[in-house]
Amino acid sequence: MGYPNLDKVVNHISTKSLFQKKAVKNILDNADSKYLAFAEEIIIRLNTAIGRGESHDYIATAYLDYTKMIRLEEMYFMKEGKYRLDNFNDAYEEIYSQDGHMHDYVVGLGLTQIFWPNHYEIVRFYLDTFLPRVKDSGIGAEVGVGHGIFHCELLRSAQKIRTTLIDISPVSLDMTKKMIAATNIDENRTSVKISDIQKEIPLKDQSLDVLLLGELIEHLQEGELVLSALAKKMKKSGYCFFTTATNAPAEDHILLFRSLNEIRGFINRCGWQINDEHVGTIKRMSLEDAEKGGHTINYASIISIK
Amino acid sequence: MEGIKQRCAEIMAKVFKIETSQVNDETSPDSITQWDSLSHVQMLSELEKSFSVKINPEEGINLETFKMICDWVEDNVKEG
Repeated sequence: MGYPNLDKVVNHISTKSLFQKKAVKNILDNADSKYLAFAEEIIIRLNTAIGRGESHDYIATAYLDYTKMIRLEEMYFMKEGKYRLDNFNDAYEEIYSQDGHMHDYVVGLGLTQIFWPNHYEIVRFYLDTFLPRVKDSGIGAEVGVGHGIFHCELLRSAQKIRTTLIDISPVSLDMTKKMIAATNIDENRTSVKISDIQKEIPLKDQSLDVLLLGELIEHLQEGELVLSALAKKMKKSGYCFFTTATNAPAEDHILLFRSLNEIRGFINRCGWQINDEHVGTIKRMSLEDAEKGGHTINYASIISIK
Repeated sequence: MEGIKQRCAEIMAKVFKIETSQVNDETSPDSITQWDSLSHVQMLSELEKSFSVKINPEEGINLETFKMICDWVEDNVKEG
């Protein structure tokens, strides 16, 4: 069994970028069949969701544009020691309100779940550790749906769950709905709300069995208010999948965590407790070296309300 | 130019933890395992410090061979 769609995207990437050719080769050289099958499936779904016929070149280009953006932001971060943006209005004007850019952005970000080892490890933590805890039925929500990959897997795993998708970007919401359809899941199981979560949380108190907050909080100016408010939306028995990162510059990152303890303290202050964690550093450096050197640590946790 | 080449080679040797003798015009991420996108950003930072120059990030991320780096430095740095 081959992985023709993965191969096509990898070939396009390798032709266009020496650095990404190398990075992708690295991950493929260490890949097991579980990874390859997952990667192939994600690309097939993205192709379907994009809806422009064969889109391997576009998918590869979107990924390369995303990685280029990250490199540029890293250069700024290295010099200035802070993220470029410090307010949500600028992020909205520059990124979330630009539909064409957002489409490229969510596709590129989706590919990082395959081609960035730390992101793929978080996917595995999600699939292997978080989802088994989620009840088959009940009520769920995701805030900041992005590419829709995590939401699709929730709906696949908890087959009777009904969910709400919340995002400020209509493009993200549309992509997620299309990814759900591409995963052969009944779209009627989800409802859609366009919302700036810092102004309005369109969820009932104590209603949620599951909440997904994947790489949301670092995009917010009022992160602490939001995470505190979202605690009120959870049932006592509910679980939240929460991911963020330290020292992770991106064009729309605002809230900067510099250490794991900062993240943990933040979660606790907002009324949550940490049940399980996964952390990953770049190039497997030690956590100490990562924090001292201001390098990215990717963080994922399963949290519940106190 | 030879002075520039020597300094650039020394910077690459420091960042990528290799010998300067491993560096030539064709040196690129293909030939140096340690030269990846993260260490590339670190190398650009070192070039800026060493030559007291600001590298436009959009240009910097496209400098993918030793020769391209040296040519850029020669074009953009006034040697005293």
